Amino acid sequence: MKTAVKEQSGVDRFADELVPYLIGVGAALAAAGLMLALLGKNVPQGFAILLTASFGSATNFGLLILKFIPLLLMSLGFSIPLIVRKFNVGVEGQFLLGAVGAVAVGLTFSNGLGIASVPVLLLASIAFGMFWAFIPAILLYRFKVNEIVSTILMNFISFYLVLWVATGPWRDQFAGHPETRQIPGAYFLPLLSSNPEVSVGLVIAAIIPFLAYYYIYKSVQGFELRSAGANARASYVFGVNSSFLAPFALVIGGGLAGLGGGLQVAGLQLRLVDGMQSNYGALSTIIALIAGGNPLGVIVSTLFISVIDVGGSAMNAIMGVPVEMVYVIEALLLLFILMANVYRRRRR
Amino acid sequence: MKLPAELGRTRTSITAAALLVAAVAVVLVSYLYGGSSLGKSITDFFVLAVAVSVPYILGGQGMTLAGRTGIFLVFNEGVMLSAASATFLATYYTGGNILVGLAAGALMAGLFGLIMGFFSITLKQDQFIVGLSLFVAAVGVANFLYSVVIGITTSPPLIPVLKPVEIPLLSDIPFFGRVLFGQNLMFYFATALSVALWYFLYRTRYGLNLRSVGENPRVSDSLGISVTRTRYAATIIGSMIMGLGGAYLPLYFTATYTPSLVNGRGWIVIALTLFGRWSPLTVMLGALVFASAEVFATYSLILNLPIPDQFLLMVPFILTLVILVISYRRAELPQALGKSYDRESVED
Repeated sequence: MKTAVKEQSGVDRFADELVPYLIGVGAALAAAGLMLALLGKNVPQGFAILLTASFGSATNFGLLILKFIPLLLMSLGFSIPLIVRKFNVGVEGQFLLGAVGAVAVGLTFSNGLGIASVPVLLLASIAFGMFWAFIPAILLYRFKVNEIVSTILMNFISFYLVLWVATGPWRDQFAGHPETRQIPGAYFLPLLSSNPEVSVGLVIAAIIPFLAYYYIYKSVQGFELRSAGANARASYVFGVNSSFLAPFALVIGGGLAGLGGGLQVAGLQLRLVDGMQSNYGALSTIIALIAGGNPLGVIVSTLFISVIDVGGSAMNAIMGVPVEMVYVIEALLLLFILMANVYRRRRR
Repeated sequence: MKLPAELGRTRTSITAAALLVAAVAVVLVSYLYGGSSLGKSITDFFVLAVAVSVPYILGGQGMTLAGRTGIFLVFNEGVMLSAASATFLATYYTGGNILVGLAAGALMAGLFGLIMGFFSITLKQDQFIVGLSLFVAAVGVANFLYSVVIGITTSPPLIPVLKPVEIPLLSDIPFFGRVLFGQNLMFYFATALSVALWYFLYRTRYGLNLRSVGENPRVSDSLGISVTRTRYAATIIGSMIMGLGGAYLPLYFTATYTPSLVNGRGWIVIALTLFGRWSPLTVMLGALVFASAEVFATYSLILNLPIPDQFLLMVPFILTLVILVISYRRAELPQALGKSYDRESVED
């Protein structure tokens, strides 16, 4: 809380906001170094791999993009409800439902839909993602059911749903793993580059944060979302329908996560694969919380987390460091940033 | 016109009566068909459900203890996994000493409780944000420890599992004997703990003080009760109890560690604590209900029902959502739940 009003220029304020993040990153990397040292590994080599592996080869860069797209959209799916102080931990399930929607379109209309193929597929994935968030949203609106619990439960239901779809009539009989047949070529996202393989999905994903930023910070409803998040009762008094906005934001978030699933299917996997959500759910929670729900901040934090995630896999391959170490580092990063933020506020 | 409190009581007594009738019916059926396969399979079902309820009971009591001081724990899923990992490793390396294993699990969970306390009580950070990041950290720590210590093996390393201990005389009672008095020691411990916790919270002065911190920390503070100390103690001890719930998983289900050991139970614990209205005895009842749902899902797989397996496995999660909806009307929370307390702050 500010006690004395001090004039600060925009640059100063930005630098002031940035400091806790730098401290957080520094502390998290120090923890990583400590863990590497305790494991008896070469620390400088570890850091070099952790931070630069993503840019070292075309394959790794492809891997970075591969993680970046779903993580970005899922983190945005977490961020928009976060503005109203709702925790959409169900982005994982919404992502999967988006993927289910995508293969449902692709395998039902197996002759393609001409020019509309890709848009219809992506719209279906958004709709499926929204539907999956709509259930917790309506439970929140009508019955005040805690959204953390309900969205997580929807994740578990979605895992079994995916397993059912992937082993049902659409199953690929020749695959050893539960997965559906490939969607027809008409639905593939056009490639921007073939090595590394990068699809138009990256462009679509990159536009969304800016739209989200505009929505949250420049639109009337965005203002209402922010005011309801800051003080639900006060904004209610001033005519903001906060009890409607919170579930509404959850549904929007579900749509974004669903789009992530659609892009993953049409741009990369070309089918629904059991377990395709990887550890994206937990990571996107961390990413969105690091960025404090700011969509532009989400771009940066997604990039950073993707880089060290790819770096972690490379460290595992080259140095035999367990991949789970990165997972711990990513959570520590958020905790250190929270801590640094507290001390910044106290200093004022 | 009835007062809300009375209404709640009426509904509780209806629920209690319904459960009693159901219990009598079950006992009657299993008694009448005692020698037959039906009676036997009903008894088996409940024997299993009671054994499966232990992690739910302990998780729920841990949440209840912390929640009664105003700290909402959402890291259960991760913390139970980290405790499972620590318990497994400690038991494995002491050549099967379960007690050391349990202690290791409780300590691991207590450590996370301490961090949770530091961030939410001392630094006054949002309990959900801290809880979610500690959830991710704990999952990371659990898997990291296992990979560092054990690594990849061709056959899973095994530890001894808990054996049923029949209580003399009592275990000879038809039906109840096997269901309640033929379980492993951890179930007896969990039951005793639940009753002791209830007695502590509702029949002692310390319990009253503790609950007052969760209802109105400012008033408690003014009466000389240390909010900080009470919350720290409850969070750490609550996490340790929860950790024992996680420790039970390798000791009962698998005899080894797998990353999917908790499989949603941690989140269901949140739901059952809400259902149990943050009160030890109803939480215990809730644990039995949710454990029955889990056993039902796995039991039904062998019945060859014309329903796909995946939908049967969804049942516990769907049931949890339904129960959350049903219990919303009589939701009863500690008033300061989820709110950090700042002595210096003017607003309340």
